[in-house]
Amino acid sequence: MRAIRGRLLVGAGAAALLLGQARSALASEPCPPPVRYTLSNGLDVYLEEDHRQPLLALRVSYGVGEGNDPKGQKGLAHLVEHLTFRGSRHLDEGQYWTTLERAGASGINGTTDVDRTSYFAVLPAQALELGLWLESERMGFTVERFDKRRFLLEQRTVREEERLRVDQHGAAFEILLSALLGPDHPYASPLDRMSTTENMTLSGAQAFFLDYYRPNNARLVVIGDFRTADARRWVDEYFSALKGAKIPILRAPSATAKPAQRLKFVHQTLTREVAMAWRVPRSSLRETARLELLMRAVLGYLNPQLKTDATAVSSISWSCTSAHLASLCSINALLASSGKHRAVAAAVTDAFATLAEHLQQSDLNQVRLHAELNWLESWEDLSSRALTQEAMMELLQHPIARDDYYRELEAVTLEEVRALVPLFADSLTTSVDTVSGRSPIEGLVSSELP
Amino acid sequence: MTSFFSSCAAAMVLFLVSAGCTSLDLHPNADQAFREFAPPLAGGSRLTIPVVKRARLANGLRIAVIEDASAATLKIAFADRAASDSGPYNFGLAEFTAAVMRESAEAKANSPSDLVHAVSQRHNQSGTTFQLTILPEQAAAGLDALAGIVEHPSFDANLCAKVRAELKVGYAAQATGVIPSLTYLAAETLFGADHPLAHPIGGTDRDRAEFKDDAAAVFYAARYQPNKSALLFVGSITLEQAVDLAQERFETWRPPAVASPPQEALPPLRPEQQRKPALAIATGGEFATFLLAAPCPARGAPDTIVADLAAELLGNLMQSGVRGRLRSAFGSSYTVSAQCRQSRNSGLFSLEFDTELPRFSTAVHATLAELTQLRTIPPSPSALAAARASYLGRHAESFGTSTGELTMLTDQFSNALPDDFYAQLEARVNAVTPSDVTEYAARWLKESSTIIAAEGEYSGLTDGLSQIGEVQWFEMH
Repeated sequence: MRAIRGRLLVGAGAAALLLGQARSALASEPCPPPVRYTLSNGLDVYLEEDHRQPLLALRVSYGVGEGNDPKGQKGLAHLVEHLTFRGSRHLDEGQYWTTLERAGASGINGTTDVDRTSYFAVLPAQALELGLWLESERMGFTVERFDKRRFLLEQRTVREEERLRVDQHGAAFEILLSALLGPDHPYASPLDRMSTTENMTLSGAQAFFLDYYRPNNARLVVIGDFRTADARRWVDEYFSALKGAKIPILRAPSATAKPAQRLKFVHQTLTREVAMAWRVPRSSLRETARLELLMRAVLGYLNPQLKTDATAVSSISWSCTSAHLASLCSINALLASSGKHRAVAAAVTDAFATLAEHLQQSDLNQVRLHAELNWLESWEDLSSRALTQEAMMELLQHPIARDDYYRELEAVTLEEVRALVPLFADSLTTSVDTVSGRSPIEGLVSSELP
Repeated sequence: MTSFFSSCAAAMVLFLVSAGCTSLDLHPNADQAFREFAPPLAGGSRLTIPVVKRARLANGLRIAVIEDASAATLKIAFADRAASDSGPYNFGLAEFTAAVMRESAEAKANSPSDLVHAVSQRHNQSGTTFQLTILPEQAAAGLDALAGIVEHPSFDANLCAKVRAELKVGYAAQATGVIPSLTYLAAETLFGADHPLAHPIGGTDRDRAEFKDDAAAVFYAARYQPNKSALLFVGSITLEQAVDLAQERFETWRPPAVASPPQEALPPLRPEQQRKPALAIATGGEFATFLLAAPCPARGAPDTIVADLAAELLGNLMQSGVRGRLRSAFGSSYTVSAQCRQSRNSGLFSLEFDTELPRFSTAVHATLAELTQLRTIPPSPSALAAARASYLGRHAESFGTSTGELTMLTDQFSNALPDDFYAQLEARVNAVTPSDVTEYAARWLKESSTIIAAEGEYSGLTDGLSQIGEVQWFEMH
């Protein structure tokens, strides 16, 4: 339930947003424009009707994440996220889950990012009031149910999630992040993350909740099959009595630490990975479109190169993340058994160099089409669109329309993409090798790949 | 109130050093009358099934369309029932054949922007699908790409060699997971090595070495026939438009008539005395992976829905079943999942989770206890209601996207489901009774037809598995 690697938003749409087929009770009614407003206690609310299916996506996010973890307690934000699922003043333990499950909700979960903790579900249209009531319970009344037993259970669960994540998705990116930003940066993770859960305390978790889980540090997004007037009434009823408070401000380190070139780490993993990362400027929508097209072009160029024994990968992905204190792009490759770290890293470096010289308009048009289709598809998915709007309000301070990002993708020129390539000249690369039997290994973050 | 006092007591230890307990106001918000009870849920249908329009060309090719004039994209798929489930002894041949067909079309493409390069190829136990997502105005070019793959492919030796090399790399890249390894091992033990479920969909390197290149041409001729295939559309297109476009490209497709191979019967469940009740792969580390497997009904069988609801009850609800039991016992429950993987001819039920090694034995015990309960005690009405709602909720979410709608069409065709299968789904889900679940579990999840497979450190697994019976040990890969 932790997503440090959330891909920063991409996208927009072609024609004007039209409503779909007559599939819901409200389908015949015209959709009013989306509404954004702020409650008197500071809660930021965004409501967008879409009646194509009798469903809605509900998200509540708090402006707190792993970047706010106290020193030596990396993962506290994640632990608090878990604790808020374990009952409230008016809900017994487990009742949050059972209530939503019996209502027919799906995709019920929470994630903790570097700057943001989000709770979300997809609900049947008739369950909006219930969903809002449950989230208002979380915001106002969960902390008093934090106790020693729940704390210890979730401490163990968070530790296990850490282990699973490393096993299944690798640890190279997190290791790289620390090396790139410096070990004292709020986003940096210690290399033995799991052990830091031992430093956490129940009172620390309670104080953390009270500091950050406030309406004036929260955002509510609802997209789907509902009437805006109903939603406003319920939001007002259930959230407006909750108290705001002064929110601690996350500050960047006073001096930028020099990135490590060699960093020793010991980690358990079942994966063989190469991760490469680059710092990039904080993104506007246009910058995001440029970066997306460049990264898609790089991966498009790389794919045919990764079919030899030495460059074989089981998966390769890119992400560009823009957060409050740092923005970066990364490429992460999970190696096949025959793949060599050095060969894959060299192929990536070569791809950027080649594109700087040889990227053609036809190549750009091709990746642009893929990017546009991807954007249009993600927009039709209510939960994906709700995530997009949440992130946009965080990063750009406003929601966007489907066409906004589509227009940016359409407008990016070949020269604009090529101009980005120098940002990717110097990468920091890390490699992680597999071990049989899941015993710890040692490795180095350096350019000296195996 | 108890929790408040204990919380504050704990808080004092820390805040003596920093802020002090009194600053920790754990009741920051006043109560209100409406908070006493959660708002009631309005009734109504949970699932809205998209309308599917159908037609058939003169050569037998089926066409199914979900029209959505407002959609900004169009999804097109060519689906065929050629798959490993067509019978034993051809593991990997369906994927190999499809990959050569695609490679052949790519080799003929005139430009890198030809949409044939955007086609993705998918396989499961029931069929093969070539599909792509395009803008609506690209419909003709998209169908050209699919026709280029499906009609008149070349099975040239060089193409076959290239595909073999790529599949070898691809297999090496993918066939390394613990859960897949345990699943194939369990299926092999339950059904024998000749059963498709005991093999990856694309086959292993060894499987592919069992057939020669010319087997692909024979497989193509036998399996890729218009009357065994379908064109599926979701998005901004009408049935009439789809039929017109399909007629222009597929009407004359008449592959040489060859006798279809008879449907070979899949191997039955191996007799209980020929297998041990538990399998284990000894590795190391502090965690263990657990998998319980059993046969389950094929996709279109009458018990399909009960099988799915049994999986919900056993492994997928947060506060009951194995997940609920492990969660309340020691927290580590988020990885629990259960499902009946159904194909046209067979099905495999599995429940899997990861756990810390010291808790493995407790987790196994809890799982077996839940399984026994499912076989003997009808689930409570509220638990069954939760399973129904959760199951329907996932379907509703899926049908909210064109990807989910295309998956529905593919499922219907590949698994030869009746046209009204999804239209009847909600009614069939609601018709399942608690005793249906018990009867299902007693019949399909009985002790003699389930098998446990686990991976982890030897002594930790031994403790946990000893309660089941004799263990057969394996090495990873």
